[in-house]
Amino acid sequence: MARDKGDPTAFGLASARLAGMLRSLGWVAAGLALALLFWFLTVDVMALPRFRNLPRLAEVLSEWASTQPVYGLSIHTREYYEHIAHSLARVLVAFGLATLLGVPLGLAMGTSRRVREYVFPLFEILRPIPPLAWVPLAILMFRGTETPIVFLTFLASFYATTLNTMLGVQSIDASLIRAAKCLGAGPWTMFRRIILPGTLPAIFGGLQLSVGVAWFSLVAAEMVSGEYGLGYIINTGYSMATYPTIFIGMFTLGIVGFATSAAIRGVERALTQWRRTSLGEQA
Amino acid sequence: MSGALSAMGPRRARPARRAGPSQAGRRAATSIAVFLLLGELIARAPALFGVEVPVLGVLPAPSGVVAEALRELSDPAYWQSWYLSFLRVAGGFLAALALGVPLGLLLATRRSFRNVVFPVFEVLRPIPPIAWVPAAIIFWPTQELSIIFVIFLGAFYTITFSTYHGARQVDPALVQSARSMGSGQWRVLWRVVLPAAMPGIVTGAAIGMGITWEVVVAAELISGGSGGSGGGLGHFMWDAYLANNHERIVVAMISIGLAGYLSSTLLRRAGRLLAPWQPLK
Amino acid sequence: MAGGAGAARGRLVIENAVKAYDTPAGPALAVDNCSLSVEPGEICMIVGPSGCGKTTLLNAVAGFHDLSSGRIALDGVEIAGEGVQAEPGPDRVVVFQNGALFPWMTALDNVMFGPLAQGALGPAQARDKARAMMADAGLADAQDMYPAQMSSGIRRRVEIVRAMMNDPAILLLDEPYRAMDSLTRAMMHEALLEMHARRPVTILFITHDLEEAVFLGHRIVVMSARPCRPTLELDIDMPFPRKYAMTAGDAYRGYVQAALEAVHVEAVKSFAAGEKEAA
Repeated sequence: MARDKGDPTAFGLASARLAGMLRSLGWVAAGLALALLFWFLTVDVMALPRFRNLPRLAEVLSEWASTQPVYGLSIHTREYYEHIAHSLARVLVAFGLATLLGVPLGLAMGTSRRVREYVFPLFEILRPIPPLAWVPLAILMFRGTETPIVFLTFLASFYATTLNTMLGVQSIDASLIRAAKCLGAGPWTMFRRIILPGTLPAIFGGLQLSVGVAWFSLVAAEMVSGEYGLGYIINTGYSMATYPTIFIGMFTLGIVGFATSAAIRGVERALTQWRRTSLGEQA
Repeated sequence: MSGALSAMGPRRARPARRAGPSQAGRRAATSIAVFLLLGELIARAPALFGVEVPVLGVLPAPSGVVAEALRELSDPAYWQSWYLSFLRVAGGFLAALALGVPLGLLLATRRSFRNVVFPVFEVLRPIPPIAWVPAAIIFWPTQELSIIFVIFLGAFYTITFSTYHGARQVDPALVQSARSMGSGQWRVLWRVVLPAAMPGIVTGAAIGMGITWEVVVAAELISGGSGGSGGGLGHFMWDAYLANNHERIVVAMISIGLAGYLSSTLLRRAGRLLAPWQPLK
Repeated sequence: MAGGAGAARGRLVIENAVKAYDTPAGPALAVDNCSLSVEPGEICMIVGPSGCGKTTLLNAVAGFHDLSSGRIALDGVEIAGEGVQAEPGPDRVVVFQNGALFPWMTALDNVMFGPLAQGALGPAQARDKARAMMADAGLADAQDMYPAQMSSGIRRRVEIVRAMMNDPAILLLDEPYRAMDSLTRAMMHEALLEMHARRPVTILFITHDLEEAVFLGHRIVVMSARPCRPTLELDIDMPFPRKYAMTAGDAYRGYVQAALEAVHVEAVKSFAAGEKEAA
């Protein structure tokens, strides 16, 4: 295809995108620095009374990075990564199950009025009950400590995924459906070539929400009843008064949570090439 | 349905389906009835069939739950729990509104402000509010305040973001025409941007409300469970668990769900009052 | 009259079509006793004030909803009316106002969609035919582009090729060029007439642009304010192929004036009745 002088080259696009990323990274760093500065000032420098009980920023950071941490957790200790692995595994299992069940259910409810009218009322009645309210029942229903935690995480994730998928189907431009009917698409073709690809962006939006909600529930569940994991670290840090550990847990949570969202965004970008306009922007 | 259509003669009309709201209502009633019936059968399985259903067999029978619910309705302690939880939710939520809406508006309208503050937000966001509970308890003088703080956090993010997105979507033409008619900056914010962003704010608030109830239960479980100030629906549920009263656990769950649903609905009603110009969907 | 070799199909007959909607305030009439005939190969332009019900009529022809009474027949086969279930189909493809290319498929895949969905052609045959038709329409370069990467003019032209792939008896166009600037629109007109010269399909074209109507059409039908029924039919007696130079001529100007007067009367009624413009 002949290209004008005005069209962007592949290299130009890539470097523009890189510059954009670096710029936002720069702002993130600046904001982060600001927040940490605030912490440093209030605790170390000004020693405000309200903030007196909080550990000093320097203490937390040095603990996090130290090879011989006082409270046993740092980036150099094995337990740290074990806790991360535990939390990550639980989230992946719960999220995976929720996606496997939620996407088909959402698609079915969005496509078929009959399915929706039978299933959605039940769904909507159960949904307002926060996943954490299931803690006692989960403990009674499932043996051990792992399954209840995964179950709670699954619930939160499942609601978000199913709802978003269903809404995604319903928000497909009606003209597209009509056009497909004009062109002679039967129900199976309609589903496979129109509804499924058309819902994909909404599904991924739902998955991002879903993974966030999964972390949310997971941490709460781990704090209430768990033996490993980031939520457990945070809770123990509090109950054993090893306060720097609380913050190490929180920071790690932020990083790992962000990483999982970014991973989903990456998959979405790979699967929805068609959203790129000719300038490489997201349509 | 597909295939060459031209010379097949007139298409026969299919028998009319009585579609419409009544059919939807009937289907909903059917599935709920089946659900309850199954629940009853599973709970009574040992007595009826001599077999214990794994996992689900632990759940109480719907009939038992109804009986327990009726009992609770006449117990003042039950309503006391509602009151306490609602107080906490209201406190935290209103604080989140009071801070979140202005913050969202500022983020949307002042570029320099956004560049500085937004990244902090994004970095702190993946940390679930629950994770803040221990830090909050250390920080705040009373346990009550720490619970309200965590509730506040839960709603704060959502409200700020919805306000931000709602305000960003305001048609710049509206702002410009207000400016050209002589409105100052604050006036524009208050009388143009805020009302225009209202639908987004209300939606965000409704979602934030759901998160709030989630958080209140968790916060009550965590802090109340360790012998704290107690009270509230979360605590009520935990007590039921400790007393091994399965029916009461389910009543508590339903109450919490109901409370969350009621608050969201109230919020949406209030939103419609505040933004009457929205076309009815 | 238009048409050439093989233009014997595509005769549309609308008889006393009535479409009423149930609203909380009682039944609302959108189309009232509308009768219209379109000859095979004819380009019939439907004009009228906004919100008068033209799209409702088109949707009934397309098969998106039933008629309350009356009948519509295409080549002798009843496609709408009492006892007939409304169903869209590839014999009457619609091209929509805001475009309805499937965003996740390339232009070529879009164009191939119809025959593949109906099982009328195998993948290789469909691809060959699609390539040929796109090349005929001057769209060979756009084959592998996604809709988001195309200009609106190209998108609309691809959509028309997609429709024509199915060899429809009648092409239904619902203000397809409404959202375009006049330069792009002029090029669309040329492209449409070129295509029609090659394949004289019957065209039912809704527009509110009278100049477009006179330029493109064999005949203009002016619809009344809601509920719509024809108030005036104008035969446009200008020769094909139509060139833009004709728009300066007296014949053209005369037709536009006549149509304008007829529409104006109806538009005033519409305005007085506070009609909301159909989005």
